[in-house]
Amino acid sequence: MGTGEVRKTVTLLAVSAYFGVLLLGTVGLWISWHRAGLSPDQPIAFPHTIHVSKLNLPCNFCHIFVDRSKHAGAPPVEKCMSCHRTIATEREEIRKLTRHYEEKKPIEWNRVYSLPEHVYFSHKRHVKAGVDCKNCHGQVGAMEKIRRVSSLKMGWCVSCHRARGAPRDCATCHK
Amino acid sequence: MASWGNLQPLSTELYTLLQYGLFLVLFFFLPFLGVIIGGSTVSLLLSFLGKEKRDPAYLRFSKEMMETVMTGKSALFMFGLVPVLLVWFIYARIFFDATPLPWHFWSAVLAVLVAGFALLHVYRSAWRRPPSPSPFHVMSGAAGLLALFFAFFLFSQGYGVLFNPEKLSLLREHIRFFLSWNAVVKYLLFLAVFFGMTGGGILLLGGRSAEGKEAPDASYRGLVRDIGAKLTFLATLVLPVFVLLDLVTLPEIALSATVFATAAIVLLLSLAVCLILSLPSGKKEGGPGARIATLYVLIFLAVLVHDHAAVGNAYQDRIASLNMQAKAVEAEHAKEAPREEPAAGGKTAAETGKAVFETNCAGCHQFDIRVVGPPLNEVVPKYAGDVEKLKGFIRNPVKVNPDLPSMPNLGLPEEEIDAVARYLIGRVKPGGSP
Ligand code: HEC
Ligand code: HEC
Ligand code: HEC
Ligand code: HEC
Ligand code: HEC
Ligand code: HEC
Repeated sequence: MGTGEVRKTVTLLAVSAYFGVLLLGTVGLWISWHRAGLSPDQPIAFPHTIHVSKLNLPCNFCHIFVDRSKHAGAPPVEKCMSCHRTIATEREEIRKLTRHYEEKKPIEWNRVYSLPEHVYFSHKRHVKAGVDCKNCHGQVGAMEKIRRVSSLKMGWCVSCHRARGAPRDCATCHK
Repeated sequence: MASWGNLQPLSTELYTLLQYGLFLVLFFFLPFLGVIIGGSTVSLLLSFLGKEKRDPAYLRFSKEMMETVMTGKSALFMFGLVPVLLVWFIYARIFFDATPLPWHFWSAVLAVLVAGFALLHVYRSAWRRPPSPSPFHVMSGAAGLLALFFAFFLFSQGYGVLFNPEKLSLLREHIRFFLSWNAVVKYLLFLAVFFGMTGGGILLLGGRSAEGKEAPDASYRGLVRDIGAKLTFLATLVLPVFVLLDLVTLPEIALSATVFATAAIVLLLSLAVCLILSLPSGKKEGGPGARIATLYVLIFLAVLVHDHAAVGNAYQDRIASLNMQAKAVEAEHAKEAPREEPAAGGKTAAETGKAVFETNCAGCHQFDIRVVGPPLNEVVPKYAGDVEKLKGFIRNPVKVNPDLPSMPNLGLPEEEIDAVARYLIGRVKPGGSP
């Protein structure tokens, strides 16, 4: 092998290794994004589309604490059954719902939006201040399955607080 | 400003069309601008180097480069300025309820672009007077190039807004939210594509002058190809770094399998370009120019598909919501079509009542059959024409029939409650059907 050959081989190897590393990086990002799960599967495939857009149920019909407490809250099974005792009872998802009801077993919904422990957040304050659900949760009425649309990063909270003149000192959100 | 903000919402077809239209415009605009930026940079660098090294070949290529990329004024207008106006228009339509970028922004982009083109034109015309441009002309070329870099930076920041709906509502009042890291990365990414493309073009045309004449001497052709190959190679080495940084800085909701896959495709295509360039060429007639240029067209396409998919993801729920609204309106029209349209004029009370019913009650109620609630033909006669009593129920529903679920309190404003109650009483005549 002449020096030309060697140099050629080294260049090819270096270029391939460089791109190999970058490709691995891309795959790594792909996997971590996939794990982060913006839209986790739920035990019962509950469609907001039908209930919000077709039936026009107000959000607080189900999320009853949203204007009174820190948490919006998920509706109890009884609330679903008030309609589903008679509606669409033959469907698979509603059968699952009925089973939960009969066994008196609450449904364990997977959380889509959740903040770390050290952050204080209250729905009540925001709803009372007239911040629409859309600003933080997007067009829920068009989501067959809930998908997280905001980053929930500190920068996000703070920039809205700045734009709307809400308090920004650390103790507001970190108690 | 207000006139842009008050545009009517779009149908989904129009929304989709605009989104495709945007990327179609970019498909023509970006390469055009990119080759001007890349070509002028090469030309200016070579004119410096040529003077330093006193090498006429450099100066000659510098001149030819400039004459190739700086086309006539009408082409500059058509491909360099009109697209910005189109993008401006499309943005105003896409963000009909936010109008995040005021006209000042677009005017600034246009003004800086015009200044850049004009200065570069001064530089280009200087080449016609031999032997080589004066320092003044070179300076004006450099200033023009800087202006183009700056205009494209502004443009990229505006482009970046598309990918982050979280910021839209903030932008309206606070232009400082306008800058984003993702847009900076996109700027650098596009610059890398521009230089790679320019290099590919140099390899392809390989020392032909603007009139398409093949340069006769082989040493000049060799110099030109060498410059083209080095430029492409370097640009293609840095490009993937920005592709990766783009994935890191894009908001999570803009990501999807398509976005990652197109990023991987850009990486693989770049790898192919680098491999072709690091294999010794010259054996084959014509060199690698055609292959590199083709690969660069594919890279550019993949980048645009990548961005298009990301924008689609970012606005997924919004588009779905428009879709549902459009369908609802269609269904409404279909229902109304056979009936007599009332005479023109303001909405009558009955029409308001009917509209309130269709949007708020029809999901649960029909007149003749049970849906979620009871058939209205059966329950409304109970109120025997007592509008106030019916309004009381709608305002604050109480449990009536134990076999049915409870009706939720819909929280309607008082005028809507009044309208819908009158509509029901008017439509279901007492005693009509018990
Ligand atoms: C018929 C009852 C019902 C109505 C009405 C309803 N929701 Fe929900 N919502 C649910 C249920 C059940 C879940 C849990 C399952 C899921 O995440 O899909 C949920 C989940 C959510 C979540 C995700 C919570 C999390 O972090 O896990 C959000 C956000 C939400 N709803 C917002 C809304 C908004 C906004 C509205 C009004 C436009 C609304 N909902 C109306 C029943 C309802
Ligand atoms: C106001 C009445 C009402 C309430 C309360 C209600 N639903 Fe429904 N739900 C409906 C109607 C109406 C449909 C549409 C059925 C159809 O497609 O014919 C439906 C459809 C569904 C479906 C889709 C069934 C399918 O596979 O097509 C699921 C799942 C569901 N509901 C779950 C729930 C859950 C869980 C709750 C409680 C959080 C709930 N619903 C509360 C009225 C209600
Ligand atoms: C200012 C932004 C903001 C607004 C406005 C907002 N939410 Fe939330 N929501 C959040 C955040 C942040 C979380 C996660 C809370 C946590 O982990 O403690 C959340 C969580 C939820 C959850 C699931 C967890 C829980 O608290 O029970 C539901 C359901 C929900 N929101 C519904 C709503 C509805 C309905 C509205 C409108 C009435 C609304 N949200 C308005 C930011 C918002
Ligand atoms: C869309 C805008 C918006 C976003 C996003 C937002 N907020 Fe707020 N927030 C407000 C407004 C407006 C108020 C002022 C309410 C008032 O005046 O009572 C407020 C008030 C608060 C308060 C009460 C302040 C007090 O006076 O004690 C807390 C705590 C808070 N926000 C936490 C958060 C956190 C944590 C997040 C991010 C997860 C967040 N907010 C995101 C708009 C927002
Ligand atoms: C409007 C609400 C809000 C305010 C005001 C706020 N924070 Fe935060 N902070 C958050 C949220 C939400 C998170 C969680 C971010 C996450 O999970 O990435 C957070 C996380 C943090 C963290 C942990 C960092 C991390 O990435 O986990 C630190 C440290 C912190 N905040 C410091 C501060 C300091 C110091 C201030 C005052 C200058 C402040 N915060 C003000 C909402 C706020
Ligand atoms: C989420 C589903 C739902 C929506 C939306 C809804 N209803 Fe009902 N409605 C019901 C149910 C369920 C009942 C039966 C309640 C009972 O018997 O306790 C009912 C009962 C009624 C009754 C009969 C009350 C009686 O005395 O028997 C009237 C009248 C009525 N609704 C009118 C309306 C009007 C007007 C609207 C729109 C503004 C509306 N409803 C929207 C579910 C709904």
